[in-house]
This record gives sequence, C-alpha cells and structure tokens, in this order.
Amino acid sequence: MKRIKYYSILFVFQFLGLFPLYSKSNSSGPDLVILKSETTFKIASSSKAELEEKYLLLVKNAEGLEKSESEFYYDNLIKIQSLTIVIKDIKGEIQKKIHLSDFGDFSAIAGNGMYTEDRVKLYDFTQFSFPFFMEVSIERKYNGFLHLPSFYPIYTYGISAYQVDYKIEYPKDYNLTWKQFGTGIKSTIDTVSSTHVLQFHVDSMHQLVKEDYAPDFSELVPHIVFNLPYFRYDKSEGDLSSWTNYGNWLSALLNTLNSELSDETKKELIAIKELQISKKEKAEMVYKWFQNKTRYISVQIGIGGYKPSAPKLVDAFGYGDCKALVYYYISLLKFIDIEAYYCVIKSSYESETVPVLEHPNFTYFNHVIAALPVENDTLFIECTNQKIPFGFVPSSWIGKPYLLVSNNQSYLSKVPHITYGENASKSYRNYKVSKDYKMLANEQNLYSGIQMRSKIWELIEPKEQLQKTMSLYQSSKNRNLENYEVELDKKYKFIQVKEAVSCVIKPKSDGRIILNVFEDKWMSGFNWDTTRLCTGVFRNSYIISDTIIFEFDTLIKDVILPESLNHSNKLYNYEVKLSFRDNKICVYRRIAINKVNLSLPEMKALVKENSEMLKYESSKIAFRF
Amino acid sequence: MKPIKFLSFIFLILISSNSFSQQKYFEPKPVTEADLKLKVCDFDSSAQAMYLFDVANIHIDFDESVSLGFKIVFDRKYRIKIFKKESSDLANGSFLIHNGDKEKLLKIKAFTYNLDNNGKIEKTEINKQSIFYENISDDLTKVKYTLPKVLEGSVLEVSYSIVSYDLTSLKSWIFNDNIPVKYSEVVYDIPEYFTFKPMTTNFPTNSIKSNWLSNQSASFVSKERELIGGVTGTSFNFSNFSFIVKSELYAVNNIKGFTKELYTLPRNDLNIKISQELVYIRLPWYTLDRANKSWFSLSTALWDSEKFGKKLTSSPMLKKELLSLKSNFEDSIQFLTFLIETVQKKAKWNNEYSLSIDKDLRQVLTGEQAYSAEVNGLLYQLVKEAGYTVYPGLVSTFGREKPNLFNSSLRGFDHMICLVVSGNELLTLDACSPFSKPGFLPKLDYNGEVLALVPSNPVLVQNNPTKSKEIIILNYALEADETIKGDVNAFYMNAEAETRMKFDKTNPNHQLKSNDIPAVTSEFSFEVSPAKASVSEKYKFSWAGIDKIGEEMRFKPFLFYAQESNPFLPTERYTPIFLSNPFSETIKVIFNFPSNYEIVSVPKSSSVVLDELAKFKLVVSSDETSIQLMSELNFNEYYFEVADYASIKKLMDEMIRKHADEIVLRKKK
Repeated sequence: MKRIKYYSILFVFQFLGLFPLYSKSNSSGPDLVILKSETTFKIASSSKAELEEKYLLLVKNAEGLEKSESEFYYDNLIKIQSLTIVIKDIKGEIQKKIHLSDFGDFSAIAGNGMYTEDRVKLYDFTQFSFPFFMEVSIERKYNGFLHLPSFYPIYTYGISAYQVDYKIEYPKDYNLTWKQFGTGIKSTIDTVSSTHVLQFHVDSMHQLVKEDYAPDFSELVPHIVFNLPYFRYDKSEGDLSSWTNYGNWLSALLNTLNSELSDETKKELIAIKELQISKKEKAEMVYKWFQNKTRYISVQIGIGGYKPSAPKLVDAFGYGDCKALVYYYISLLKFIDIEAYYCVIKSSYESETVPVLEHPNFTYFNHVIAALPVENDTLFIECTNQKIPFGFVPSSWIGKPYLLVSNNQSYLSKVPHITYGENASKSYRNYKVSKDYKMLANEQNLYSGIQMRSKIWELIEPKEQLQKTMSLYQSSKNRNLENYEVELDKKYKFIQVKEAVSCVIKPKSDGRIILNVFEDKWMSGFNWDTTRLCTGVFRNSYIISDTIIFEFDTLIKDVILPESLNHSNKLYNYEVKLSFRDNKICVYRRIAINKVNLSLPEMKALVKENSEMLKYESSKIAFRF
Repeated sequence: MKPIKFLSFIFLILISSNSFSQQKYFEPKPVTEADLKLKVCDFDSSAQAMYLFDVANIHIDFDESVSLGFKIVFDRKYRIKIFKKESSDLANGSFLIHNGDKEKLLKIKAFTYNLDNNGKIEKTEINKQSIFYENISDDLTKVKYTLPKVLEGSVLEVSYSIVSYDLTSLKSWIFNDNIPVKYSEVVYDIPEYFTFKPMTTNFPTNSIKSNWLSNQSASFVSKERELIGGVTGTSFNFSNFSFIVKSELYAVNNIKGFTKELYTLPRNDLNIKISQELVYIRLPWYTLDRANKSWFSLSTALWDSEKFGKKLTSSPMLKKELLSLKSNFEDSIQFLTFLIETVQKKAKWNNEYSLSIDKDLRQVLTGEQAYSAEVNGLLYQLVKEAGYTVYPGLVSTFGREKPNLFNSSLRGFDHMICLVVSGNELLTLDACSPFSKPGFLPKLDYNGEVLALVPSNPVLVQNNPTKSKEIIILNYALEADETIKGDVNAFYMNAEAETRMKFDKTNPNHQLKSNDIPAVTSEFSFEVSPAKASVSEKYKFSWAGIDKIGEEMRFKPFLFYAQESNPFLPTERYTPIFLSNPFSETIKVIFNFPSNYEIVSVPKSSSVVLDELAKFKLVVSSDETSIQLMSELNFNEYYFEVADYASIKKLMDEMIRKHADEIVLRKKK
C-alpha cells in the first residue's frame, strides 16, 4: 500500500509539472520538493509555546539536502522534545528510522564566534542515495522566549511545495497580528472556546530559480509576517507593538550595563577632550584609539544575543561582539560629552521591502552600529573592524532601515543613499611599448560612490598580503607587478588605486603584435539568457570609463583597429572610440548604466544586444614595428 | 576452610623522593622590555606574529589516588609575540580534553603583556569569564580561551596542565605552526615500568635530542581483606621501592610558518612531529603488553581479534555457488571484477573507514549499512571461497599518518582492502571504490605502504598509485560562417576517471581548462566502465571565438582545452610537489578547413624532457586542407622534491606557451 501511495504522489507531481522525476540540475526541476508540511504553533503565553512540525520531503540531490534544513537548532529557551526522521527510497521502502538519540549534538557556533549556548542536532544524511524521501516529525518547546518566524511556504530558490499547512493556536486575549505579502496563501480564523485558531494553506507552489538583477526572493514569494505585541526574553519583558517600543526595551537593557571606564582610559579621553578640535575630529581620534585597543569576538550567553557585555568589561579586556564594541565606543564618546547612539540595522545586500518596517519583528535586524550626529548630518560607524575608515558606510547599509535606540525616544529610520560623489569608476592607463617588446603599464583608477565600496576591502587588507595577492594575480597573466597602491581620499570622495605592471609581449610568427583592446569585458555582467523568468531590477545608476593610451618608442605600421561604437538602449549607453595618431593608439570606452526596472520582454530583447556587445569586447588591435 | 582472598590489594603511595638529576628542561625567563619592543621575527621578516617558545613536559607520575598508581600529566606553556594587529586572533586558543574519568584540566593560566604609557611592563591576567567549556561530544570538551588587551606588540603567555588516567597513550607534539616558532620543545619523563616507542617525522637537521636518567622512590601500602572463619579481617603490608625515570628531550629552533602551496602534501605529512606509542607496562602489580613489538605480533593479534580475524575466518557462505560460477569466466581478472561488482551491489558502504568488523559478514551481504572493513571483509570472504589466495591489506588513507617500516604500529591504518595473489604479484581489490577494476585503488587509498596480513609473515608492500590517463580528441572544421564546429571524444582512466565521476555528468563545460567555453550542440554522452575504471565523454560543439585581424583568422588550436595558467606560479617553493598520481594527458586536434583558405602559420613542434620524470611534447603536421596537432604531457612520478620545482615550472610554462600559439589562416586570393 505504501508503495502505491508514493508512486501515486509522484505521478500527480509529474502531471502537474512540479518536477521531472530524475532531474539533475536546477534548470530542469527543483532540488527539493515539499510534498506535505503541517506546522502547528500552540501559544500558551508570551513566553511559552509548543511547536509541532510534520513534513514529507523529496530530496533530489545534494543541493536539495542542503535546502532541507535538516539541522535542528535549539538553546536554553527552545528545547527539542522529540525528533524522528524516516528515510525512504524512491520506491517508498524504509531505509532508516532516525531518532533524536541518533543525532550528534554540536555547538552552533559560526564564523568568528568564540562561544554560544546555541546547539545543533546533526545527522549525516549524505549516506543515502538520491533521490530519497525524508519524513520528519519534530516537537519543540519554547520556555522563556517566544518568537514567531515569518511563514514562507517555500523558503529559498530551487524548492517546490505541494501542500503546506501552517496553524497557530493562541489565547483569545492575545493580540497577535499578521500580514500577508503577495498572493496564494489561503487563511482562515476560528475560535474554539478561549483559543483563536489561525490557519494558512498553500496548494502547489513552483520553484524559483535565482537570476541576476531579479527582484529579491521576499518580493517574489508570498509570505506571512507575524507580530506578537508582548514578549518575554529570559527575565526581561518587552513590547513589540511598535519599533519604538522595541527600541525602548533595548535601551532599558543597555541602561543596566556598567559603563565605568578605567583611569587609564579616562586619561586618554581627557587628553582628547582638551584638544581644540571639532566634535567630529575628537570622535575620530577616539575611534582610532578604540580600533587599536579592541578586537571583535562573539560570545553569546543567555540574553547575550540582545544585551551587550558591559563597557567596563570591554575596557578591561579589549574585546567584544558588535553590540559590546558599539556600546563601549558610545560610552567613550559620552565621557567626553559627545552624544552618539546605539543603532540596530539590517545589514544586507538585498533591497528593502518597506512594508516589513510597519510590522515589527524580533529578528529583523542583524547588526549593531553607532550613529553620531554631527553638523546637520549623521555619521554611521562600524565598530567591529580595526581598519575601516571612520564613518565609512559599507554598501550593505545604504538605504537600509535602522532603529536608533534612545531612552523612550527610539525611532526607525533609513541610512540615506550616501553617494560620496557619483557612482563611477574611471581608469587612465598608459602603456609604453618598446621595440624589444617590453611593455610597462601604468594605471590610475578612481572609484567613487557605490563603485568605491568594492575597493574598501583592499584598503583594509594588510599591505603585504595585498601586494602578494595582486602579484600572484598578475603573474597568472605572465606579468610582473611593479607597484600597487590603494588610497582613500580624505573626504571619502574616491579611492585611488595606482598599479604598475610590466610584461613582455610576444609577437606572432609574422612579427605582428596582437593585443586585446578590452581586458575587462563589461558586458559579461549582463549575460543572462533567453530562458530568463524574471523582470530586471537595476538598483543603481553608474558610469564606468576607461582611457587607454598605447605609446611606442619606435614608429609602428600595419595598424588595425576595431570600428568605434555608440550603442544605446533603455539600460545603458555604451560608447567606444579608437584612434591612431602621432604614433599613439588611443582607446576611450564608457558605459552609463541607468537605474531602471525592465519588463521580462525587455530583458529578453536585450540578450541579443548584449551578446553582440560582448563579441565586440573581444576585438583586438594589431600592429608591427 | 581456606581463607578466601576477595580483594587482592589496594596500594597507596606514601612518599616519592625527588629525583637526583640536574634540571634540563626549558626554563622561560620573565617577559622583558626587549620582547615587547621586538618588531620583527629574525628568521621570517614577513611574519605577523611568532611563537617565542612553545614547550611541553609530559610526565608519568605517581598518584596514590588512581587505580594503577600512575597518571600522565601534560604541561604546556607558550608565548606568542604579536607584530601586527591582524594576527590578534592568535589570542583565541583552544584544546580538547576527554570527558568523564579519562582526563581533567588541572589548571589554565593566561596573561597578556604590554608596555604601558610609561614604558613599564603591564601584565593582564585572563578572567574566568573568558574561558569557555564547550561540549563537542559525549566524549570530548573543547576548552576555549581568549586573552585580554591584545595590541600590536603584545606578548601572550598561556600555560595549562591536563591530567590523563589512560596510561596507554602519550600526547604527540607538533613543533611547527602557521606562524614561525623560535623554540619548540617537548620532554617526556617516563618511569622504567613503561616502554614507549618514539616516532619522529620530518625532524630537521638542527633539531636537538637528548635524554637523561633520574631516580625516584616511593612507598605503597598493600591491603588484603580475608575471610577467616566467617570474620573479615584486613592486613597491611608496607613496601618501599625505587625506580628510574628516563627523560627524553626533543627540540627544534627557528621554524618558519607554513606556506600554503598548491599540489602539496597534506598538513599531517608536513608537520615536524613526535609521537609515542606504548609497547608495554610492567608495574610490580600490573602488566600490559601491546602487540606492537613486531609486525608479526600485530598481525597475530588482529587475526585473533573477535572484531577482525574471527569474522574473516567464519564459515563459508557461498563456496559451492562461487566455485561453479568461476568456470563461466575467461580469466581471474574477469571473475574478480565480477566479485567486486557483486559486493558493490549487495553491500552498502556508509562512507566511513574503519578496521573493525562488528557485523556478521552475512548481514553485510543482505545490504545493511557497513564500514569499509566490513564491505571488504565480505569481498575477502567471497574471494577466498572462490579458491583464491587472498590476504587482508591494511591501508592508511590519504591525510593520515603513513606506515613506518621501522615502527610496527597500527597508528594511521583505518581501512582494509584485499590482496589477491596473482602469479608473483599481489592484486589490490577495493569494493569501496567507485569502480570494480582489480588493481585499481581510489585516490584516498594511496598513502604509503599496505600492510599485507599474511598470517605467517606479515609484510609492508609498496603501494604506489597507478598512472592515470586522459585522452581528448578534438575533431573540428571551419564552417562557411567562419565559426568552428566539431566533436569531442574524451577518455579518462583510473584516478582521472574517478575525478570525472564527481563532476556534473550532464554538462562538459565546467571541466574545461579555458574560460572560452563552446556551445554544446548535442547530448552530452557520459559513459562509465566500472570494470576498466574509465569514463568516456562525447559531445558536439560550435565555437565562435576566432579572431579576425585584417584578412587573417587566428585561433588557438586546442580551443577550450588549452592550458592557460600554470599551477606553479610563485618563483619560490617551500614544500615538495605532490600530484596524487602519475598521469598522462594527450590532446589530439584534427582541424579541416575549406580549400579556399590557406595556412599563414601554424604552431611549431616542441619538446621538453625532464629525464625520466616528466615530459611535454607538441607535434604538428599540416597539408592543404587540414592541420593535426598532438600535445602530450607526461608525469611519470607523482612526488617531486623542492629542487625539481624550477624545472617543472619551466615545463609547464612551455606547455602554456605552446598552447597559446595560434593557427593563422587567410582566404586565398
């Protein structure tokens, strides 16, 4: 009977076209299929609940296994009561029954973490041959903290779902609110004696394939965001009915911390305070001293995910996580009467879905920074990096919401689109070619606006390491790196990279020298194909320009240059000019990308244009001495 | 009625005297201003930090409270100098201790030294909150610590002691690390009752070894309880004894930090290391003999083991069937291939290596998940029942400690294969391989010799990886639209085929050497021949990468199979080159073009030969309408000393240079 059941389900899916049975790659079907999923959240109070999940997955390949989220996390406040997984082969025959005791138990520490109380239950599922069914049954108990994660029927790319049910039972007097984004989720609400029963149901949802310049995942997939107005975390009670209230709760946590500084620190700060310089300059001096004194280490104990270590401890030991370092820096400034604020921020490279801001959610923010008001402006300050320039805003913060935490005056805002000049990268390259086929290339590159941010990491990297990396990169192209310098403009308007490279050009057997005109193929960044499924979202306008001058110590002849080009469409204007004059070859190339949204037909129409441009960028120049 | 002795004795150590030997251990001097002002490592100027010293004393001590009267204490102390703030992560450290009664952390102390504003040495101690105990399994706890006030110029000092009650195992010591080490030392203090075999790896010529003896004495009380006439009595006997302690010191100076390099040996093979392996314990009240006195005693112990030899000598399962089947096969190779295939179909390897055979081999035959020795144990049984002379062969898989002919030890061995006597040779079989070819072992099986468990005469036999082959035939033509269309036939054998098995079997593009990938215009055929340990691939392609310069058309004849980058880029090399296996790579090009085109130039033939070690050869020929090229790269060895690096780099450079040479055509006028 069981076998018949599984086969029939598979047949239905085949019929629905949800997945081809033995697809190998994402383009031909999802990696993971949620055949059936039932989740029940039974909320007893603001800090107690039971979560029951039962789901049947078809794991088709290793990517699907990764997406199956078969790592089960818990901590002191969320316990796993029971966990059973049944693995069945594609014919429905049981391969293994795995119980909670069969799982390995590990610390959930990640990245630069030193210690966390969070744990994870792991099992090696790679031993099973793909595809296989995974029948999961898990019960969790929340005691001390309750957080309702958003409900996504499919939670990442490459997953299809057939039948997904999500139920929340909560006391009638409990003011739970929710909001649906997108369509396709059916909802009902019933009341059974003193309990509301909120149910969501989804029938068949196709997989999404990740594409460049597409809207963000959360904009493409319907989902529900919940809000529990009151919460309890360990022994601390809070209000999440508004971001302001949440900020005030954080502020109250901060107020309990010991901000006393050592005499030695005070002495350093007093010396800075007494200088006749501006508030901003003082804050910058304190920042440099702070960077030298501290380092980033993550330790998460108890409420440590939200409450930082006390400034007194950071002062004594010189380390902390982002929360602790920010609050320490703020305390240092406070000592010299400079006001700065603790800000929680959503640091992300994805675009921002504004409606979430109207719907406070406990885990929305993921980083802490400092905000320093100066002369009608606000500086945003990263405190976990010892090399990042003072007040430099990484691109992952631009336009992102932040919550400024202040006693009863917390408020939500957004990091402005700080441009630091236009979004541009400009290159000036001078190639000196001698008759003995030696070439010395001097390049000067200026990066400003968003373009600058990709270079900030070179500024932070130790110089010796950077030289080594760049030198290796150049030698992979048979060139010698003579010099490499990265410098940030004092007003943060641009980053300048100077590079000198030498090499020997190899002439062809007929004495002809052939060189690539364009080393960087700009158009390769717009190389989507005709099978594209999503509209295009180009979030920033920017300009890239390149001026190359080839100079020769001897007269050259038989010069062949590609045609100049000027091509425009809704997305870009692309211009290339080439000339040979006074024994010099000059190449000027510029592309201006527009901030624009393109429809799917427009995206498809661009494919051919882009491939033509890409072909053009393979053009060569040729000459002889 | 005879007295019944129901508790033989409990001993209590009362006194232990001081040794009379002179002190020879490293004695750290206090941190000085000079240490704190030190700006650079004197033997590695690019280092961002260095160990000023890293020393350990591992001593076996009396302890009246432990069951055998001895315990092992591991004392470690190190100092790190921070030259650059970027290396401040070195202030975070960790070590493992066994849980329960096996080990205990006796103490941990850590300090950061800095110069304060007045130039005085400031010493900051770690606080308890900066030491974490993370349970990583039922058996192990990771002790993590992070030091305070770490600045550029700081000196970090950490010391800790761990006591172990497992007398069979002494900790190994690794002398080198990612950062330079000025001085590293370990001293083992071993009482005469214990005999350990030291095994050193990669010890440099400037290493220091010395040993000395000291005398220790102790008293213990033996307590006997006797039941005499229904009454229990206790009698005490006091004994004094003295014993000799042998101290062995191993030290190395000025060791450079590790450099990450491509195609090198695993870290374990590059470490400067000493391990100690227990041979026997002969206490007056307790003895333990390990079987590792000789390869013979080890082999005998394994054959006698319930979880190895006994399982391999269990009653036959399919003897009659196998013997009758055997006659259906032309030769032994075919029949052995069939047996490997049978085991691969029936047994389910859980991808774990192990020497232990816990399961009955019949259970393995029914498809239960099994460890490697269980899978190959089944293969051994079937081969033996089929009438072959076969021995279990123990393998240390890649990355683990290699077997050492002069140190009989099971250390490192974690996998079992089968060795079948075939004429004068031993044929290797491994049913955990992706293929079923006798004589082919997967890459991971090559890590030094195989221990052939021949009952009467166990031997270490050479286990060198077989040469892999890669043959690519590119047959293409110039089309009227001046694009190239053609087909690819590729054949991979042995380790190269094993590598191919891990790739996407639906698309060839990811495995091409050049970024200039073609459009695949046919089905990608990917065929595996398990019995030949080979993979063949076929597909058709079109390619539009021809450069047109004036009237000329130019392209690299090896197209997207051209070798474009040299894996040996740096001018200096610090570690030997390790290629996993010898290999040959042949790319043959057959290019046809219409008769209205003429050849302007073609690449010239070339050859670079490094004695018998390696060779690159390019052979080119052409006629009116076709050009043929053959590129051959041959590495007859898989391990090269640092001294060979420059020649190998040059050989690869030549190959890249020749693969970049173009065919130039133009239309006839």
